[in-house]
Amino acid sequence: MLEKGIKRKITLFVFLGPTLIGLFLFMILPLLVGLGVSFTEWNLISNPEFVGINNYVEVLKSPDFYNALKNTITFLIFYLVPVVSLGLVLAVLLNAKLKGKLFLRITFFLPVVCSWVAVSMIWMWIFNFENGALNQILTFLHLPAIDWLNNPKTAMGAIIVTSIWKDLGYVSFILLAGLQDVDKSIYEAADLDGANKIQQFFRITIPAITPKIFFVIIISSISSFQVFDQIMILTGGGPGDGTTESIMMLIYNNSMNYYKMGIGTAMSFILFVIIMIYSTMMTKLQAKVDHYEN
Amino acid sequence: MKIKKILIYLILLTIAITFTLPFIWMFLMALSVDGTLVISPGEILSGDYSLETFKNIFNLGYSQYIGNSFIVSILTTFFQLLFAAMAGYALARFEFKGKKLVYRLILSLLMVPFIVVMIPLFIEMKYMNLIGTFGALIYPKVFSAFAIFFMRQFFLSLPRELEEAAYIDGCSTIKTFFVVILPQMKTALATMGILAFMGSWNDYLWPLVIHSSDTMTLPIALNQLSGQYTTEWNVVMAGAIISIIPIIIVFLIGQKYMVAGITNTGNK
Repeated sequence: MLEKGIKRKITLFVFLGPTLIGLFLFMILPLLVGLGVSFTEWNLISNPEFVGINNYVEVLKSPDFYNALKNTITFLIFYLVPVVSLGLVLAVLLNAKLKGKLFLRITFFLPVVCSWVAVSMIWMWIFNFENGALNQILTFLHLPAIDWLNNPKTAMGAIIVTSIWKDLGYVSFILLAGLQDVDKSIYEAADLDGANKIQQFFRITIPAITPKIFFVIIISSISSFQVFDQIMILTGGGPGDGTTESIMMLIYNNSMNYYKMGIGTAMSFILFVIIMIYSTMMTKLQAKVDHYEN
Repeated sequence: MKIKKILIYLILLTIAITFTLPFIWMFLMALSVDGTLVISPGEILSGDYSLETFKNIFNLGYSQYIGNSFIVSILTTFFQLLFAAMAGYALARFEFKGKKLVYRLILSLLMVPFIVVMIPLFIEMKYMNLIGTFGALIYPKVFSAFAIFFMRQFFLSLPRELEEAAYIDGCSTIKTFFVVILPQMKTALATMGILAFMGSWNDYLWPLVIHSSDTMTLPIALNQLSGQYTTEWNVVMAGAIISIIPIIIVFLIGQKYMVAGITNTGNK
């Protein structure tokens, strides 16, 4: 940077000014306003009324919150375990020297780039009771049809299957990038030492891609804690009384449908804290498990 | 070895076909005349198909929603890239008071989930009388801590020779940035641009909160469509296809950048 004095200040402002003003107006100010609102009772019409930590107490006492927390964690576990294991299997298969990689890449990545609304529309029909694809198959096999999205026992499962289908390509390509970085000579050395493929997989491959596995687990967990789109569209939180309602949906409903701004913001900060604690724990765990890099 | 390879191909092909089936069904359903689809091969081959439904979708106001989606996504992407590239450049190359503080601030904002600012943003937009405008849809999505961080990392890996030559020639910083530096960062701009466009095109939660009937984007319109035409699956699927065609075109053109961008950053 050549400019001096006032010109230097102007240049600096041209480069950083818009960003700093924007981040202040649309990130920092909302954070502060949100924190303030979380200590009030406010429906956006009457004046906000200061209630101290009452909203936090109310949320942490409410059965709805624990129901939503339970649903969110159920989603997280039953989505994460299959998507990471299947993603790993797919990544290993894709890592073989193959022709037609472009075709496979496009196929597995297509659901990743489509919107949640479009993907949900397809699966809404697949799971549809009347003439959905799944029930057509069940009927063909002389099995009873199931109302997948309206049955409290199957609704969460259907949401999870849809989510796995959408994200499998994403997870497996992150892991594939890790596999491609593993030094091939390590495998050759292991071959010479007489280690079989299964031993090689668990002793070489898995430790080598542990950082990538942690990366996938952490980012998928953070997005699972915030699961919203697919549930909102597929079940709206139902069937019945919030059987698939996630924390994000509870926040959305409280603020945008019941206009309980204080409760909504308090919940969003509680969710923020949960995510921060979880990420810190996972990062610590990774430091313990991952010796390969050092 | 040969047999093993054929086996891997067969497994991958089976997975790929199963994976693609939902899309194939979506297309067949959109083309079906009566909104039903029997998935047995015989019925699929002998079914009645027409493009009529796609025409009807446009009668339902879809040209406007497509336009809205393009306005929001293109403006969001353009300004996000511009501001992030400039701020990222400043953070990577300039020396100024408070630089560390700004960088730390951006790093901590990276961790803030959108939901934490969503309700206060809604309140802000209400007080600024922006609810129902395109501005409300665009402004909060333009300033992305992630994009700034991404650009900064890119500039740190970029050699300084070219810009230093420009400075020696007496070019101003702004001119150097736009004439010398921006052309060198096509990959970074393409990668971040595709991520930003995809994020904006597919965004659901914020438009759901802040849209009006005039600024409705495709995901919101599609969601409403499925509420109104619950049993007419051909209409719903035709709408879904129209909403994903642009992003699929972007994906096919820029798939190298897109896959690399998504898998290296974890942003989708």
